[in-house]
Amino acid sequence: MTDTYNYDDVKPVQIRSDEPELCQILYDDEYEHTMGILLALMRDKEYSERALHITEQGIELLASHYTIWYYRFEILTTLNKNLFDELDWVEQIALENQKNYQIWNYRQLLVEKIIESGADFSPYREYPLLGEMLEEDVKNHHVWSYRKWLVERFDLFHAPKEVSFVNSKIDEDVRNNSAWTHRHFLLFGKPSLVDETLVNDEVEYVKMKIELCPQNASSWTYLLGIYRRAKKPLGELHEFCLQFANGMAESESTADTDESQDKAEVKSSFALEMLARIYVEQKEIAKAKRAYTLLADKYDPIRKNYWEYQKSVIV
Amino acid sequence: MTKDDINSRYRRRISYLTTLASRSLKINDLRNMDEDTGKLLAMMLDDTYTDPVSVETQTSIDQEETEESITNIYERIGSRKPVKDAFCFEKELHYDYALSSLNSQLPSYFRSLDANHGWMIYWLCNSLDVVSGPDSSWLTEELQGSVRRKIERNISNEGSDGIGGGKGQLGHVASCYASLLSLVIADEYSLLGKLRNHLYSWFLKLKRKDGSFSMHYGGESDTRSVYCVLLSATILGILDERLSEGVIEWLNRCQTYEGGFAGVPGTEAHGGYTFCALASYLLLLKPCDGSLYAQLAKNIDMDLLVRWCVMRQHKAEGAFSGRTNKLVDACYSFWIGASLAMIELALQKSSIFNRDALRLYILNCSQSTHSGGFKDKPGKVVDFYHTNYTLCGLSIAENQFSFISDKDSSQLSFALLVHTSPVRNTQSISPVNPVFGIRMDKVLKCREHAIDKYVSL
Repeated sequence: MTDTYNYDDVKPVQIRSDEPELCQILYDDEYEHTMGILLALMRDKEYSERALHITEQGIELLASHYTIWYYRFEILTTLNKNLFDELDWVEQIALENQKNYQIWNYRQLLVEKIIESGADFSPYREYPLLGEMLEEDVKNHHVWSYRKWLVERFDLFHAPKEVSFVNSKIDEDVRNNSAWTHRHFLLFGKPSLVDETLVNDEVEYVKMKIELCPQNASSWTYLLGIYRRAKKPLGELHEFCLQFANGMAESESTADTDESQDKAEVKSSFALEMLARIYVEQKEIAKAKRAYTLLADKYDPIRKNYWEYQKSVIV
Repeated sequence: MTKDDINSRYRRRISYLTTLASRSLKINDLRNMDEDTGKLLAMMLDDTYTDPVSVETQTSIDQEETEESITNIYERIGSRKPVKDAFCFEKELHYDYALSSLNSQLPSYFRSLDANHGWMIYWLCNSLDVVSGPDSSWLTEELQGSVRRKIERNISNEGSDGIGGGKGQLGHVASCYASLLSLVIADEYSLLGKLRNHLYSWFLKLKRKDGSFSMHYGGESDTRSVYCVLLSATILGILDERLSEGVIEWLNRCQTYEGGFAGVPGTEAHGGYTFCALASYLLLLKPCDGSLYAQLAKNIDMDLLVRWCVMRQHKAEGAFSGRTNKLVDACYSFWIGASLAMIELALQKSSIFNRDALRLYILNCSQSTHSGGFKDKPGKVVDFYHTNYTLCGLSIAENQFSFISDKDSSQLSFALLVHTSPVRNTQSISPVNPVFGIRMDKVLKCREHAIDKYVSL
């Protein structure tokens, strides 16, 4: 493997110590040899073809070795290598290392360097890779973060292709919170594009998704998030929430009686929570307290302490 | 979807419904028991008021599968009488697991951790420290020396290029953080003193215009790198204006519409990043500028933050997930548990989440009673990382938090003023500081050093 280049003149860094050491890894010979040479070349600041070659071998052995990525980038830019070829190579490594952190920062560095050099770069070039990565793990945090970076870097806010992509991911799995987060950034990430129409359209969209699946944390949190940022009164959602949590807070009785609880018909604890927030906002203290009591005792008892706390801070 | 897929889905569904029917009988038995554990189990097993899944998606399929494997464990506990032994902690086993891992030679596949040597030392030494009593008998002079030598190998240019993940590697802020914590745990203050000024100059080199810090030369910046620098600087007593400039403004941008924090502005709220962000505020803010709550509320949406954090606890499992609609994982016992502890400190409330449900998960679903150590969830294997953070999470669940105030402390950050007291009389392990992730007494010692240094700054 190392045949292509000669490293006989390099005195490798001894990554294995002779004395006993805590958590000593028993490296296999190939790993110890490759890393030893690689780290020695880096220490000596050698930027050459053979150095480039050994970084490739190092990354194939351990893709999470951040030092190698840093060194490789230095070599590539010093040698003025074709960075589009490099993007293609990294693609393979990415597909083989789903959980890797380093690759995505590295890719960003490459793309920035390409743009800096004056070459054209289309963000859509990245789509097949990102698509394939999400096939493997549809909530891959690094892949979505990179995608967010693309939206920001190439001003893809509200871009039809991106919107239809994120729609398809939500259609596939309405509980995919990564897709909801991306949607939020795509539509609300550039304040100059946010107006009342957008907010209202978006509220309708989420409502539709909630009707489809009422007990879904992602969509309710998204709805609450939109209202919070747009500073809209939650009272607008009163009728909507009653569809999923009916009968419990409408009684005139102020006591937390079992009777009033029994009338409740709750399809979504999130709807009940939203109702509680609406009643707090509208200063309907008794109703708000009743909703929180229902959450604490029946519909979301794991969060009893939180609901009791919410009840205690109503003013 | 193929026909086989549909068939297997139906089979799963039917077996699930059968289990439910037999479960409802047991729940009534449990609820009527005098023991708190019985009532806790009854609450967690009862799904009368849980809406049946209306649309099946990959998320709900994965969730149901995990829930079922854990519910089976809790049902077995519920059928034992008495159910008191639901909280067995195998202290010696974990001690042995951590100590032997630290001293053993690791097979070659452990090279996957070759860029994380400092982390391995922190995870294992901290696990030992936390399961041991205050006497720290595990920390022999010989072991102290071994820890120091192990960290020394990874120091780059005396520290002015940082501390890397292994010998000859590039300085890395997270590895530096783990290495400094290891030195604090091992009581190696002389080396910390030598590193102090060098690391300060390195941190300045990593400081970015937007207020955040790069993880390493040419590296990314996120709430993780910010937390690691702030905590390292606190340990060394060098957290000054130049380092902290613009950090709070940058952190504020990382809170998402959900309420939790993302690694960088605009990405998804996540347990690990939320911990890092919140801990960073506690490292920066000081009691002389007002209450923690008031200062946080000036910067971020506290209502949504509290909501997002408490929503991470799953009813059937008792444990935390790291993101909305994701599965529970025992490591979040610390990332989310400590975030909730910090929230409790801000709200001045003793318990905002269900501590017993978390303990139940940790001790019955994550603890290995064979090999020692802790795992993510049933069906997974134990590892160093999960062992450390699950133990720290267990400590959070066993304690409640408040701030101490004294005259000397006015220029110290909230992080150095945390005080713990046990929730109940019997305690399995030592109390852990939720910002530092190490034992309270070790932080106290650090604080004494820090006070001296602030005087000399």
